[in-house]
Amino acid sequence: MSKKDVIWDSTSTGKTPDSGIEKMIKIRFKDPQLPPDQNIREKYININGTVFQAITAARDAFNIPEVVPIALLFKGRRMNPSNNLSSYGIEQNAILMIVPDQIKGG
Amino acid sequence: MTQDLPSSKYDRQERLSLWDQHIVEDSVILIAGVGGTGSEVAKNLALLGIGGLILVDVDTIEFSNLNRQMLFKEEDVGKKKVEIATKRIRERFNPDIKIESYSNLLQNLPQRIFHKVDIIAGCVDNFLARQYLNAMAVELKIPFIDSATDGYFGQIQYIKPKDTACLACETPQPPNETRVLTAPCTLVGVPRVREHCAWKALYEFSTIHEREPIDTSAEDIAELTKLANNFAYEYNFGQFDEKQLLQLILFHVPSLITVNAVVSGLQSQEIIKSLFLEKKDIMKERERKILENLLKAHRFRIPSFIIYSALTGTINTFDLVPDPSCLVCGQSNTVVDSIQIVTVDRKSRFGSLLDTIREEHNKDYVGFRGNLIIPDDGIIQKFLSDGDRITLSSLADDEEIRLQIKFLN
Ligand SMILES: [Zn+2]
Repeated sequence: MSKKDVIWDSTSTGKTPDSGIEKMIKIRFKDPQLPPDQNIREKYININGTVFQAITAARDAFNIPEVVPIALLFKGRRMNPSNNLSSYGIEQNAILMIVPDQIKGG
Repeated sequence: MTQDLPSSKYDRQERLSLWDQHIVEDSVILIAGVGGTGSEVAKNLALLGIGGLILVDVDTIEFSNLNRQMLFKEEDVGKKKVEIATKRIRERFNPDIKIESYSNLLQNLPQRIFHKVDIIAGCVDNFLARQYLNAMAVELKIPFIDSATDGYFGQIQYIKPKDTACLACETPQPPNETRVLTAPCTLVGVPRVREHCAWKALYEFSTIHEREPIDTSAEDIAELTKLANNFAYEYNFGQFDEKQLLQLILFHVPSLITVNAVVSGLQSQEIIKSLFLEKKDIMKERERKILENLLKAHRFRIPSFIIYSALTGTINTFDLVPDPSCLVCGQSNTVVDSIQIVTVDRKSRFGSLLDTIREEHNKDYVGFRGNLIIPDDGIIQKFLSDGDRITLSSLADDEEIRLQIKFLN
């Protein structure tokens, strides 16, 4: 799969209890653990959905197994999974960084 | 032979441009947590010639520590980590270093200890301790470099209070509610979600026994579960079973020495860089100029977030921005730049301080180092020392007020 492959998220209804409106925008997920020429993948997601849905889409885009906990960063802010995507002011072509989540040992 | 010896043990690092050994030798680092990462950081800083270390860890050495914590030997099992670490660092790495050690819970560490610290190194293994250090660093404006590892992954976060994101900014898990509870003063607060009861139980257990519960001890787990369920009952949450509680608060993450070594190496390096940056003005003229030029060319920076994956061999850096609504470092926080001072007579009764607080601040409770002070007839100096910071709270709202105690005379 080339880095610019666009994957439509056909499984998500994208509907949320509040809005019920599905508004798909193109997001670029970046996984910095991959080599630079392979680390961006695009996906259409529902802007009225939650960050959690975006995390699921990111997993899907990069085939990241469920056992690897991940979080997303947007413009230097760690995104809270239960928040709505729109609350971060995300627009078309936004880059969301994939980082490991829940690292707590010492 | 001896004529060929360089004049300084640190000759090889002193050959580096930008390196000012005096700054290193003149600095004190507090290392919170002397485990897999903390013992490596202590070793690195000792070898680099750091002036002083303050080691804080309430744990004793366990057999399962020996695969990676090179300061400890089999004969040390059961002994206090900080005591053995102090001894070994002096013996093996640096006889000249000044070390203070505290086998305390962080939350019970006297606040004056933080006042002599240049940088806090967070090497703890749990959320609560990390959040406590974070709140302390932000309040006292001490740069804080925190690390965490989990199996093949590690991360380092640099917190420069008010400039970079803190650990409570957009904190991932546990969510918002726990942030409130984990501010140093609010462990005493009302649990807002069920998990808070478990955290409160852990805190209570640690306070009663002056140690952390052991996850393999049936007695400890039973007692902890009972404590958590008492809180859960009191605040109308569902009961826990022992398994749930273990998973929630005593889960031990997998740990590898190689990952600990990489992460502690990065963390130690950022600590030194942060020292140079903080003490730039007293650096040797030549080194200071080099640093300034590098800064100008963006060739010297301390990333706020570094991630290491042993599985892909990658190290990535990010800049995290502060969350303006952060409860610890944001605008809505309880930390104020100019803390209010309350002047008291050390010999007066604690009840009189409480009366003043009720009258002037409309608050009911006084918290200190994570505990409520239960007002009895004791005199103030029994509970507090000059310069201590207390937290005022009430059940009516979430807002806290901080005051600094000043003794008359
Ligand atoms: Zn913050």
